[in-house]
Amino acid sequence: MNSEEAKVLLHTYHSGTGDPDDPQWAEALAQTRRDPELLAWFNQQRALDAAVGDKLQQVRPPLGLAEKIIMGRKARIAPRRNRYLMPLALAASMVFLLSLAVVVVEHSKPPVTEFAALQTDMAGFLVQFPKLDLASEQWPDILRWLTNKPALARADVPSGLQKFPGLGCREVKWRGKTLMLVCFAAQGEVVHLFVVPKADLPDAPLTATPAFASVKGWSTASWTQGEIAYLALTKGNEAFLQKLIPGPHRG
Amino acid sequence: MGVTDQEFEQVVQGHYADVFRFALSLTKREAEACDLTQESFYLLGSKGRQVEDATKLKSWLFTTCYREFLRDERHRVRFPHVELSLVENALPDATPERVHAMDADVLMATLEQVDEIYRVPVMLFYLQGQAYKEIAAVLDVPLGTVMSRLARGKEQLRVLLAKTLQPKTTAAATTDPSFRERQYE
Repeated sequence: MNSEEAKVLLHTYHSGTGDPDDPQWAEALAQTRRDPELLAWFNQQRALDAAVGDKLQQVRPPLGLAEKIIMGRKARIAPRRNRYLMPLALAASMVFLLSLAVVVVEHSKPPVTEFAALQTDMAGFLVQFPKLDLASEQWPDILRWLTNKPALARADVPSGLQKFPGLGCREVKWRGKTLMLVCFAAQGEVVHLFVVPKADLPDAPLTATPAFASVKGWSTASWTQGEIAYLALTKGNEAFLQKLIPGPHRG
Repeated sequence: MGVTDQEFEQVVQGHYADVFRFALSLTKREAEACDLTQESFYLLGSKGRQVEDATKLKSWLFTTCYREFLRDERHRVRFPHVELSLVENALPDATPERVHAMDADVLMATLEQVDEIYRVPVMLFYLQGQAYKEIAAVLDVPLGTVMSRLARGKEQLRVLLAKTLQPKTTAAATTDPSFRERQYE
């Protein structure tokens, strides 16, 4: 080992972390005894490393960051239990009791197409706010969870919708297919967005322009973008949904 | 949940500052560094059972922080390298005394100028306080690669420090057309 090779190894030296049994270390240190210039460099480098390390410890994180991390975790563990889920569960229960008869009658009418069946079934499914696989208001978390599904790797949520606080997401099994449901809150209304590979719903709308409809008291919007079909449902009226999802230029 | 609230708070208090410093060196922006730090700890909270060895917590946090950073393709821009040989001899030494006298934020700004490929092991070296074997584990690269990146990164830092510490009266020396100024951001 010459002095240049020893330098590379000695650059990794941290006081107390070198492995005394490592023959490379022993050789590099032996080289410092043979080469006074290398020894001087090594001593200077260690002093410089210590100075840089000490100085770095003086870089202060913003005030309150630790508290933010701790509170952030608590918020994620029990997100919105009070703000959304409890009132929503109560409201959903009331809606369920009041509209039970209507729902039963309408269920007896067979949907014409699979996509229509999806709309109808999901309107029924959402009578009670669903349990979420991931509860988070952070869109990066939600999108990461969504795109981790192989079939939805290229899925996206219109960026215009991402300005509203997320609630979370979950998988929904329906007729042997896996649908992804993303929930968020917009202007006091909960919006449920189903994201489905287009291949799973051959009769989903082909256009990027949303088609609006009303199904069992829900306003719905459905459209296709690339290989992904989207179905949004909300208790807000159609005008609200049209404003939320205005067209292909959305986001 | 993997860890209790009390355990989590202890880990945060013990390591958040170093994780933030590392995140800041990666993102170069305080707000993004805060987000990255927060995300790293959140992942620890949700996957804490996988990190049973407390002595490896810091490495785990740095690894997670780095991988979360790499997820974002926007950061994977390669900046031009400093031509060390052109500037090395024209600058004063970066001595420990001068580093002690400089402002910590100036040091951080100087570290942020080191090329990312070298900056990451250099930051881990200074913050983690562990051997290059742990750095290799965080970066998932061979030991030899860590050694060479660390050596080059520290050398680059030394030159950048010398430039930063250079008295303003001699700054004109760097206007030499052979000096290749870096363009950041």
